Amino acid sequence: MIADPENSDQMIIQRVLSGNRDAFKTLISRYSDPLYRHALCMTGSPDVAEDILQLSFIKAYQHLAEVRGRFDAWVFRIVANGCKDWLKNIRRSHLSYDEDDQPSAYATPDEELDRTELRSDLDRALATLPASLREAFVMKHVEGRSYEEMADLLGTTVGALKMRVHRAREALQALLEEKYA
Amino acid sequence: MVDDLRSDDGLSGFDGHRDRVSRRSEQERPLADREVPLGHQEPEARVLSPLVHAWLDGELPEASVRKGDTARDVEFWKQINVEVETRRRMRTPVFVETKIMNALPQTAPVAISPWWRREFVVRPTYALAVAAALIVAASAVTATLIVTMR
Repeated sequence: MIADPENSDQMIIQRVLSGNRDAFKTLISRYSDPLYRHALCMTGSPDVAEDILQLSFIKAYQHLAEVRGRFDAWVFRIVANGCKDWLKNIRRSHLSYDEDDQPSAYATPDEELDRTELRSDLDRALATLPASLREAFVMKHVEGRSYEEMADLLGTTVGALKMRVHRAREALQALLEEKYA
Repeated sequence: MVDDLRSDDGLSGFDGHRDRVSRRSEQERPLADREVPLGHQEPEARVLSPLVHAWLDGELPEASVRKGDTARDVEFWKQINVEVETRRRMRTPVFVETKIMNALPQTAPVAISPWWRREFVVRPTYALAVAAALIVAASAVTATLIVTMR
């Protein structure tokens, strides 16, 4: 939430609608990181995540006059639907993160190798989950959202989302525990 | 064009119900819109202790779960959480913002609503003009009918 009413999403939207196109940049800066993370974890590909983010913000811009309620929730739904549509339409081979995109945070080469392996294994395991379970796991664990917030964004119940997260965890553990437990 | 922004295409009620039905029947049902037809099935899952789920949801401290059979699960999820934490710090590449701004239309967004949803304002002068036109038209029709019937 933005405390300064002058910089609230609603005020920025009004500025954009009255012709200040550059004001939209503030909304992109404000929300691109969590949306990019969502798209990246859902698709497993930085290139696809960038494309989905770009198309989603263009769509958001074109339909900005139709925003009712929170902009962040509205644009999240556009991105989430973009990810699901991509997953539905693309029969993809395995795509992994471009390692060069991410800075190294590990002390030794061995440690880095282990982490890279875990990253790839987790990607592969996530890719085997149905989209609804993957989405719930990513929102809960990667994005750190509460169940109430997830329910609000996805238009479903807290109970249903808990069930999806639990099933996703159990499926991931079944796939990875032999190697990592 | 108005986008349907609901992630489940209005099937939230069905979704809530769906989570209650057995996994077996879920595998047999037809695919819903936006559902991903993955070539693979959901892997065989093992059942995690509710205590582990509660710890992962932040409802219990680690110490209360790290005992007995669940200690191994805690170790496993701590490794996963390290990787998840790395993903949580990921940022959008810097060039993406510029790319998006360059791709935006140059014109300001406008609301495109169908004519039946647009506001209709009745001004007194227009109302009088329309009333007068209706009276003239009705008189003309009546006169025509009278002439025809003679």
